[in-house]
Amino acid sequence: MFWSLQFKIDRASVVGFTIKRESMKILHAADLHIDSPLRGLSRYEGAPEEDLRLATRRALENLVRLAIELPVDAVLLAGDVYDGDWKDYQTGLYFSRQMGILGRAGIPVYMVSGNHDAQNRTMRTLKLPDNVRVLTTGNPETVRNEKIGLAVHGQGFAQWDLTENLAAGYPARDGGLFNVGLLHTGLEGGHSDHKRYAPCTVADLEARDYDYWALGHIHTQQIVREEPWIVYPGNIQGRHARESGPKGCIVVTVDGDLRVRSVDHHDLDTARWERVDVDVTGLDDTDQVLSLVQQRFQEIPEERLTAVRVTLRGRTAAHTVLWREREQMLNELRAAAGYHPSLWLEKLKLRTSSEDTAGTGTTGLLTDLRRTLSALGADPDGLTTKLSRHPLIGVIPRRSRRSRGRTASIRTTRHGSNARPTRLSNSWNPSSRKHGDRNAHRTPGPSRLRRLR
Amino acid sequence: MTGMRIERLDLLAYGAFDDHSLDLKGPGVHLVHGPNEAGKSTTLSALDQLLYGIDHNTRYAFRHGNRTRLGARLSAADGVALEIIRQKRRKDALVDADGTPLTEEALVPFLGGVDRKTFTTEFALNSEELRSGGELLAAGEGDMAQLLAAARSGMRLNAVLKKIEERQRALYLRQGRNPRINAGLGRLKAVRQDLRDATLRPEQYQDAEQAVAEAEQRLEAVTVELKGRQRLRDNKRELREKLPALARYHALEQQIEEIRAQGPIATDDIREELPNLIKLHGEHEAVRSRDTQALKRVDEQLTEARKDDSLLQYAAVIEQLTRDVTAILDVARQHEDSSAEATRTRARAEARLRTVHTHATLTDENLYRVPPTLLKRGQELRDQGRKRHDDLDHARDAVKRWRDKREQADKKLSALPVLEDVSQLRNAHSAVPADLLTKLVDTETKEKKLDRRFRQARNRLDFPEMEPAEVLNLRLPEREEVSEAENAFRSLDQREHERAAELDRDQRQMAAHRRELARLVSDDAPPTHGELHALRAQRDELLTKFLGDPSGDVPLQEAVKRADNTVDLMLRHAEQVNQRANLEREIADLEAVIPDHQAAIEILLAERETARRSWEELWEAWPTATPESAQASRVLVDFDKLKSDAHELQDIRIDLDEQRERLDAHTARLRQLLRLNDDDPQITASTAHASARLAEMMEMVGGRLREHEAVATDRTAAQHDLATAESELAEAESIVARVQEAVTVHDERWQRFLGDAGLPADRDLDTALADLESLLGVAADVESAAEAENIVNRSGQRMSEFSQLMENTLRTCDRSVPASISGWQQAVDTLAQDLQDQREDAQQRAGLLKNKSELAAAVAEADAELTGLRSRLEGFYARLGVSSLAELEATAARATELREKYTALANVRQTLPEGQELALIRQQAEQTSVQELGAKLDDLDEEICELEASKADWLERRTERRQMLEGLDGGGDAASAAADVAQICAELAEDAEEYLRLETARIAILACMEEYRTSDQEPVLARASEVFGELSRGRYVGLELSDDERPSIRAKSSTGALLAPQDLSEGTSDQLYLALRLATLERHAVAGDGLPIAVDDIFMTFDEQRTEAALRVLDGMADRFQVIVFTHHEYVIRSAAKELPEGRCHVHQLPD
Repeated sequence: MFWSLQFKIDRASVVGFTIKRESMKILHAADLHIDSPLRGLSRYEGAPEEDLRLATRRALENLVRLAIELPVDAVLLAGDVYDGDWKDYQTGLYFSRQMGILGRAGIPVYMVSGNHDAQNRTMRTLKLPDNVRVLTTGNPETVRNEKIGLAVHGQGFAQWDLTENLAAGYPARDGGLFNVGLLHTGLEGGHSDHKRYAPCTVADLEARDYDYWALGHIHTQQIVREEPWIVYPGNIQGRHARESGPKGCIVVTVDGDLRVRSVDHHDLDTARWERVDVDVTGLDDTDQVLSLVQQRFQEIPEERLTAVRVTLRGRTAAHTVLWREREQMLNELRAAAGYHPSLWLEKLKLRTSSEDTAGTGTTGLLTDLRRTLSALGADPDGLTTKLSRHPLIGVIPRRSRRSRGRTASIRTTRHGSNARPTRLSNSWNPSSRKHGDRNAHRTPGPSRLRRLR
Repeated sequence: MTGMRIERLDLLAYGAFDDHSLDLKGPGVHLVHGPNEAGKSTTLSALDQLLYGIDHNTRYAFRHGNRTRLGARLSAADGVALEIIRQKRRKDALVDADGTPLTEEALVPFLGGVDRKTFTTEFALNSEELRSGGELLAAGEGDMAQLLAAARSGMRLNAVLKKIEERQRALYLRQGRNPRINAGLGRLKAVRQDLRDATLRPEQYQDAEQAVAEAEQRLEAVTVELKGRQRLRDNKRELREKLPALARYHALEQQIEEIRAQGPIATDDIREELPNLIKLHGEHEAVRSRDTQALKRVDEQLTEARKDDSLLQYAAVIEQLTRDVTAILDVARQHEDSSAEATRTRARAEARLRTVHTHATLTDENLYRVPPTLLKRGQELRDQGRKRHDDLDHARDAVKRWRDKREQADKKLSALPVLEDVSQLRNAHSAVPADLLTKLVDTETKEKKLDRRFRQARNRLDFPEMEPAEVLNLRLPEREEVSEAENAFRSLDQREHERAAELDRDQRQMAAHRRELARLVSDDAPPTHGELHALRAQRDELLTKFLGDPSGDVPLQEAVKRADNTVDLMLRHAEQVNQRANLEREIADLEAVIPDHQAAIEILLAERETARRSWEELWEAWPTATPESAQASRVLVDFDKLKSDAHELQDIRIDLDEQRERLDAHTARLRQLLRLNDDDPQITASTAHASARLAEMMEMVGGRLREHEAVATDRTAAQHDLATAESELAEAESIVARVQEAVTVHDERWQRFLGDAGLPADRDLDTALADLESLLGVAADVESAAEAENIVNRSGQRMSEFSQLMENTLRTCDRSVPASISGWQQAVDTLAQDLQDQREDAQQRAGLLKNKSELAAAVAEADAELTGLRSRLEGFYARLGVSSLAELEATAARATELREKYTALANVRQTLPEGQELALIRQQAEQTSVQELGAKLDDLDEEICELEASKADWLERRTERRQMLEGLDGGGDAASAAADVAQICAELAEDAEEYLRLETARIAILACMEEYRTSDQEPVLARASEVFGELSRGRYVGLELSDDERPSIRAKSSTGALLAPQDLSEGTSDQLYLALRLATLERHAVAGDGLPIAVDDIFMTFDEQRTEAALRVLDGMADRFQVIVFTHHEYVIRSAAKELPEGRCHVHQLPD
């Protein structure tokens, strides 16, 4: 503790007769979902599976390393550290150890519980190190850290299905300090994909007159507003194909006048999800398709493990063969992915159509089949009823079924991928991504569990 | 509304076909016949390729590649017709007869809504499909839905359904273990168990913490108790160890008391000093007696010693004489040698002086005392003089040599010829291009080659000798005109052929009819009226005779039979009469038709003549015989080649002429410059000659130019030599003058040198120097003689001094003086020996005296010591109250013993505690014994052992529990297991997705099949009943459905029995399937989608009668669908010709 105190004093410099603070750095992350597995990746020979097993842990370790290396003055975690239904206490112990590392580096952590944390019964008895301050759930509270000039206002989720507007009750601004609102919320307006927990509006947040709103719950990085700053950092590690692109945290730099100087994103993820849309229009055979996809594989950066969903589109003479030899095609693409040590072919989707216009008659078997299928499609409930009576439905685990109540086979519309980050601030610094790259490491150490006898 | 027909199919360039057309216009059935490999399947495949596009990867492009083409004339039911050409390419694949591109939409009015798949599966049928259709009937027990689907889709739905179900089974079985999903579920169960095992509950963690705390508490308690016991044991052990020491301590104390009781005890100083005093006393006594005896022996030796010291006072002089005598004898020898040497040297010097100055003596010192530097100066002058004279000789030689060289160069230059101007010649030479000749030769070769090709082309066309220009002027018929005329010829040929064929056919048919008529005429005659009457009478008689009589039954029956036979015979005759009438009518028809055919053939021959004439006119300008129409295309191609050759030949000849002109121009110019005009003025036309002349000319000019170059080079070299010689001569002459001057200066310096040396002026260089060296030798000899004389004087003086000293000494010592020098040595030696003897005696005496005084001092000292010692012992006696030395020694012995006891006591005290503690321990020791202590210690050891074991146990448990707790360090085993679960779920999701996709497909197909059944069942069943009846030639009268929930088909036999398909024969089930297929097709006719039906050898399992029946059925459909039957069986052709009505059977023979 001595050196960290010393450090703070060194950072203050005397200007005229008043002590003026030097800049402060705060790391803001959310939705860690530690030990939540990466979903949708089926095993195949040559897939780099070991590297993906504990990806969320590796991302958290990257966060801790980044916080120490920068260094930052405080870490804010805006909820959902755990998965709601996750029962392994080891996860909590692991989180506690990581927070302990920050503690030994003199970095305080302020966190609120999110809906998942509230839902999780296992971690309730977990003791966290002294440097971690979990804000109360009963009422909003303010934690002041005069040493670094920070006031954190926040309230955690007492129960998982919290629908009150928490932000409305947050305390008034604390003068002379940098005011941060720490909140887990599905902000109103957009994000229909996420359930509306602790709903509030941008206006509610603006009304508090804070300098920065550190939000969590939405897994896509998003800067909602700059005056004041309202920021979702997104989750630290994508866990399925819908959570594609870079994932990480936000580092806020505040100058001596308590103004935000920059808001930078840092990559933390060890594995990444990418979609590769390949237009195969005009290609004649599967060999050409294969070599085109292989070319696209070449374009994927090698430095990080990447799970790729390949979608083939366009009118092609190979349409029929592609469907007929779909399994073989999948295997060949997996073999091709095997040439890239960090590539995992998550899925192959065929969205091609046939070149053969002469085949589209108004009579004949295919026409009749098409008609029958569209009749079936027009009555999805009828078909669902038919299919759901199938004994297979009873034995397939819920996890393997697609979300939102629709079965896999009749999902005709693509689920909208989550909105990409809409806009980046002026101070957005793309080069800072390198940091995350440097931190990315993929070899999880051997983990052991000694169970009680 | 379509009812499309392919009126004509042109296999323009398709498979092995070239321009082969099939005329499919006629009504009824078209049979395409050819043996296997004749292109039957090629033709069959051409149908869909024509209508829907040629496959990119078609196997029928092996010959024509991208030029593969099909053509056709299509017509629709409403009479609209379209000529199309289908090409194998992506762009403009479909064009009309003029080559104008058509879109695929253009075919829609003809194709209706039928796509390629539907066309190739529903409108085409081959024997294998038919057989598998038959099998399906049997296997599916006639399931109507299945059958209708199979019939409508050409079998595939069922196969697809099978495949789907097969794949579904590979994915999932309700009770299975091996299918993918079942296996995945099994793995999932295992991994989930792993996850449960790896999951740590908070209570488990708290239990682990508590277990550690408990272990720590227990360990603490055991440790405390153990420590108390160990302390107690240590005390007991200590006591046991101290017991012997305590006993010894007590014994020593008693012994000390005893010693003290024995008598006086010497004090420490007496005890320590006493042994030393006794020892010193003894030693002094011994020394005193030994020294007294030695003193007596010395006195005796002194009285015996000799005494004579006379020479000792002259010792210094005698020693000097002894030292000098040898040196003086050497000096005496040197004295004699030096005086002889001085005399010899002077004589030699004088003789040398006289060799230079004949009459001089050594007294004339100025003659030979010359300075030694003069010799060096003389040597330098001599060397200089030699070099100067050599230089002069060299310089003079050089002058002479260069003078000669200049004269030679001058002569050589004047001998060379004068140069002339050759610049024009050089320009003309370089103006001739280097490759002129090779180009000319190339062009000429090319011209010859082209000429040969041109002639060959001309000969190939049988043309007379013609120049290229003439050929180019020939005007021939246009290609279009030729092909038009060719087409006309072909059309004539075809018409002629057709007419002739018709004539032939009709004639053969007439002959056949006539033969048949003849057979009918020659048959048995019909029964006459008489015969009939007789028969009737016989019957009546029998009836009357045997009415009611059973015995008449047999003859009556025979009679009835006979009557019946007669009636049959009559009926047959009636039919024959009818046939004959028909035949006669047909023969009459044919007889009327045949002259028409003949007339038509005549007209065609006349047309052919007219065509022939216009063909001849077309080729009027043709220089040889008019080509055959079949040859025309080739001739035109050959002529085109000839024309292009003629063009090329013309061009190359122009090039050749131009190159020859250039060659001649260059030759003329060179001739003019070489001034050869007069010799060979005319220009020759021969290229070879011209080339040779130019080459020769070029060679001459080259020679001339090389010659000129050589002369110019020679002149330049000669001029250069002359200039060099002149300048070198001038240089050499100036060197001679310089050297001459240096020689004069040197001569003057030499004269001056001779003067300085006192030598005559005429002495040459070497003599003068030899003289000078002699003079210097004389001076050196004189010097050395003087030196020797000096030495003689000095040695004489030293000898007299020594002689004087020796004589004085000898006389003083009363010795005789020797007479000559030779006695000196011995006299001196004797004297020295005597002196030495006297010295040694004196030394011995002094030693003895010194020894005597020392011994006397030692005796006195020993006496004094003995007195001191005795007085100290007296003191000791007085202090201890003893009277003798023995008593004194006894007190000392007791003191020593006492001292030892005290030391031992002190040692024992060291192992024991001090003060109060010692008192305590002595007290404890008194109260216990070794045995008692041993027993107590054993008990304690046992207790401690138990406690230690308990401690170790708890220690181990604590370590274990701590490790266990530390092991709960946030490990990721459960997370890894969850990752495994997620992976398996992903696999299951994929497989389930596939399974459900297949299931959906299966549902759709079944729905589709059911839909077919509901919509098609009634009309198709009705139509199929008819067709099946026809196909089975009345053995079956129709089809019915079973009453099942999923109705199946039953064949109704003429006897009224209902047979399930599996009970039908193979051929019959094939027929039943065919009936269903054909009945289903009617649906298309109703919808207006009637496209041509192509059947490929479907009669494999049919006998002749069934084949005929099938052909009739097909003919019955032929007005709604165009029917094309592919076969390689002759009997099918025969059956068709026999069975189908006139004009409704068209046979198309494919070429072998």
